[in-house]
Order: sequence, then structure tokens, then C-alpha cells
Amino acid sequence: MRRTSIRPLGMAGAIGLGLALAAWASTACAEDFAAGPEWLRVPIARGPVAATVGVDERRAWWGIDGTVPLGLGLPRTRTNVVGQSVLGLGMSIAGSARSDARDLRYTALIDRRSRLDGGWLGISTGGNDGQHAKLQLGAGLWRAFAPVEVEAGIVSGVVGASSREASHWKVVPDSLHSRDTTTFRDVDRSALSTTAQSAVRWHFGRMELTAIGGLTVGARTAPQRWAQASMHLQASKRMRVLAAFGQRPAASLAFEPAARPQTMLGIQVAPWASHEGGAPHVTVPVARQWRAELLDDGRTTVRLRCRHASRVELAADFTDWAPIAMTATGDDWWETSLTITPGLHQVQVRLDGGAWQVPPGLPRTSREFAGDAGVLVVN
Amino acid sequence: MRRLLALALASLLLAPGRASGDESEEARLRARLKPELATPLIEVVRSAAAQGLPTAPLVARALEGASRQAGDAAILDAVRRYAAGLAAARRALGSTARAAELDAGAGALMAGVPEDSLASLKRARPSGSLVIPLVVLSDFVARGVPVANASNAVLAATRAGAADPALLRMRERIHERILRGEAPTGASREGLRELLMKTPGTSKERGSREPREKGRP
Repeated sequence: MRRTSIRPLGMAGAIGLGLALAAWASTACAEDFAAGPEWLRVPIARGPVAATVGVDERRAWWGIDGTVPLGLGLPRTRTNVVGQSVLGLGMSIAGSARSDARDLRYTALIDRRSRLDGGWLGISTGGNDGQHAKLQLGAGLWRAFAPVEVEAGIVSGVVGASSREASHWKVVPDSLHSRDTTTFRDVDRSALSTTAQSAVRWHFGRMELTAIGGLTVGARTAPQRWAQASMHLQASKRMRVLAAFGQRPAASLAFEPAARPQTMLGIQVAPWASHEGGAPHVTVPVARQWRAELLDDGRTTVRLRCRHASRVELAADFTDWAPIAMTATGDDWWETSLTITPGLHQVQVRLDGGAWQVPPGLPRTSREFAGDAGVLVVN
Repeated sequence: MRRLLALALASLLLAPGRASGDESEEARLRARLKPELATPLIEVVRSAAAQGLPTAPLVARALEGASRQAGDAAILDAVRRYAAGLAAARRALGSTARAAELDAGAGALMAGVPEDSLASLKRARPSGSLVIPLVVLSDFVARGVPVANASNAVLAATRAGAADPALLRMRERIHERILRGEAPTGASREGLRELLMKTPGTSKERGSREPREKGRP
């Protein structure tokens, strides 16, 4: 089994840097922030297919990876994904200039996120940098503190390996020379390998900097600490520059096809990139306009305009603070009609399962339990 | 929205305040809350009704707490304090105050506005509805304007004869200024100055400085 060389130094530094960045970022505003690990946002950030070429410490390499998003709610691409569970089916193939071997890997990922945090669950099989994983399971959580986000995850699986052992060793002399009659057999050295890792990611314009570190424990190997820093720079709409410094075990790369186990430099081309400039940005729903109209039948229609929302709810004293779903009526408008008694009322709205907020334009009042609410005066 | 508020104001002037609890409110409380919480809450609601206070805001508070998974003690405490706030609002606004005025007044008191400010507002607009001024006052406080500045701004505008639409416009202007990054205190001062300059019967000199309530710093 090929053993990846791991450098233990640097993890403490990476974690320290991450904590410092997180502390600094906790004071920053989190409005309109593109949240979530870049590799989870692949179909949004750079389209469904990308080709990468690069060089690392050992060789030149290439890779092609593709992901098909299957929305368990709405389609993932170009839509808001907050509150949706999305199943992404991926396949990647990679090779090197010096070898005919091809690493083929299949992955399936369920990604569920809210506006500033989320989680993922994945299963993967196949090769990565020469290591063949029979089956790998991964799970992780992330939380954004714009412009920094913190991620933690664990990847565990059986990494396949075999070695040749002599089963019968003998040298038989014949009439002219000795003849080696040794026979060999392949021995399965597959072993369970588990990697716990955490990352701190910093978004700075078109650049994303990541410090990731972790601990890999294998049944047949000593525990290995590792750390790697990486940089992704969106050079144009369809091209990214990738760079990494440091080491990480191949077993931890199961769900990140663009990542490499060594220090490397590469270029990734995504021919069907969907975003101008390629900046990985999740659309965040924002409530922009509120209207209330009295109907002839005595009911009141409340309307809310918000872009990129896939679910809008309203809670108010006239609903006994029970959330009710508003209906999309087109042009980003959502509405519901209710019987509201005359008087002073408090109302809140929630977009895609996010925090309850004051409808735009309404006077604000502080509520004991619900936080700030909008004040609605109804005839 | 402004049209709705204007219509609402007119109707609120005409509509009698609902000052008694009813069986449907008790039924809603019993349906949503545990008996050990619903029973003392209903006592508070009945007591408020007996005093002629509006009970709908109390029921709303209780259901708000229940829907946000607040503890029983916290809900009961909040409802009791709001009932006390309604009573204090009536003291300040007078026995003729409508239910919506009492609700808005209690909300302002809960936000930290002193009773004196409510009484001053009542004196500034003795016959008109105070719902919108009180709503605007609570809005200012919720947006970070210090209570004294918020009270002075609304009181000065009301004394100057600003109608409700003008008050709502002032609120919007101040909100925009705060969103642009101005300090809430300065934003409220400028918003008031703009309103007073546009309000008939007030001089520019009067609007150039923030009026202060007599006896207040």
C-alpha cells in the first residue's frame, strides 16, 4: 500500500490562524454572504463539469469531475438552496502524465443548508491518488461568520490495499543453473481509515483561502496529523487557479475532487460556468416590499415581495403566532388572505426557514418572545 | 401601506375599544396551553377585562410565548407585566383611550418610554388618536434611538400638529438615515427638523433645534 507522507507540523498554526480569523469575523456583518464550503457549492459556483490540470510535488496530473444535482426540493442550479436538501451525484476521473492508471471515483452527497449553516452526508467509492476506497462515508457541518466560515467533518472508510507475499519459496538447481520456483499470493491489506478534519475558510473577493487540518487514524497505520493551506482564485468566469501547500491524506479527499494530497498548482476550466466572474455566491432571499390590502369580503391580503425565496411564511398575533405559508403569485410576490380584526397587530415573516424578521417598511416593535416584529394597523 | 394606515386610523377613531375578555379567547388559551398555565393566564385575562383593559394583547402575548417554546413561568410573567403595562398606559392616556391606543401605549412603556411621555403626548393631541404616534415612538426606540430623543421627537412633531402620515414619513426618513449609517440620535434629530420645516405653522428656526419637553434635560 502506498503510504502518503504526512507532515505533522503546521496543524497548530492552521488552527490558531483559524481561531483568530473566526474571532475577527464574528464581529463582521453576515448580510448577503455566500455561505458553505466551495466544494459543496460546485454546481452553483462553476457549473456541472470542470477539467483540471496541474503539477504537484511528484508529477503532472489531470482530472475531470462532474456533478449532477438532483434537488430533493427545487433544482439546485441558479436557485436558492436554503432549506432544501439536495442530492448531488458526482463522478471524477484523474490520472497522471507518468502513468496509464486512472483513478475513477463516484460520490453521492446530500447537502442541506440554511442561510448561514448547513450539513452534508456523503458516500463515495473509487480511487484517489492511487488509493482505492471500497466505500467511504462522510459527514460534516459548517457555519458561516462572514467572511469566514468554519467547517468540521469526518470521513471514514475501508481503503483497499494489497501486497504480494511469497507462499512458497524455493530455488531448484537443474542441469545448468538454479531455478527459482517461488510462488506468490496477493494478500488483502484493506483497512478501516478514519479522518477527522476541520477547516477555516476565508472569502476575499474572488479569492478563497482555506486552512484545513485533521487527524487520520487507520487500523494498520499510526495516527497521522496533517494540515494543508489552499487558495482558489477565480481568474475569469470559466477559469480558476488552484494552489495548495502542505499535505493531506488521500483518504480525506473523497468528496473534494479538485483537492490534492500534496503541495500543488493547477488550473481548472469550467466550460459551463453559470456565474459572471465565477464568484461562488449562494443567492440569499431578501424581503423587499410589503403590502396589505383590504378586500371587499372583509379579509385582508398581505403581500410580500422577496427575490430568490422558495418558501415564505408569516406569523402574527392574528395567526396566534402559528406560521402559515404564503403562496407565490409570480414576479417574486407572495401573498395570503386572512381575516384580521381591526386594531393593532404584530407580524413577522420568515424566508426559507431562516430567522423571523420584520416585514420591510413596517414600524418595528420589540416582542418579549418573538424578537422584533412589524406593527400592522388594520381597519 | 399609508392608505391602509390612514383608513385604519379613521376606523380606530370610530371603533369602540374591546375591553373585555371573551370565551373564544379563553378557549384559544385552553387549546394551546397546558391547563396549569392556561388557568392562571385566564385569571389575568379576566382581571384585565374586569378593569376594562383590552384582553386580546394579553392572549397574543401568551400564544406568542407558547409558539416560541418559552417556559410557563416566563409566559405568565410576561402576560402579567403586559397587563400592568396596559393599566399604566390607561393611567397615562386617560380612561377614554381606545384599546389600540392602550396596546400601543403598553408597547411603548415596555420599550422603556416613561409614563410621563405618554401623558405629554395625550396633552399634545387631546382629541385625536395616539396610535400612530405611539407606534412611531416604539419604532424609534426599537431602532436604537435613545428613549429621551425618541420621546422628544414624537412629542415635538405632535405638538407641531403633524398628522399621522407626516409622522410615518418622518419615521421612514429616520429609518433611511439609520440604514445609511447615521447615528440614531442624529438621524432622529434631522428627521424631526425636516418634518417641522414642512409642517405648516412651524418656523424654520423652531425646526432647527430639537425641542425639549418642559422639565426634561
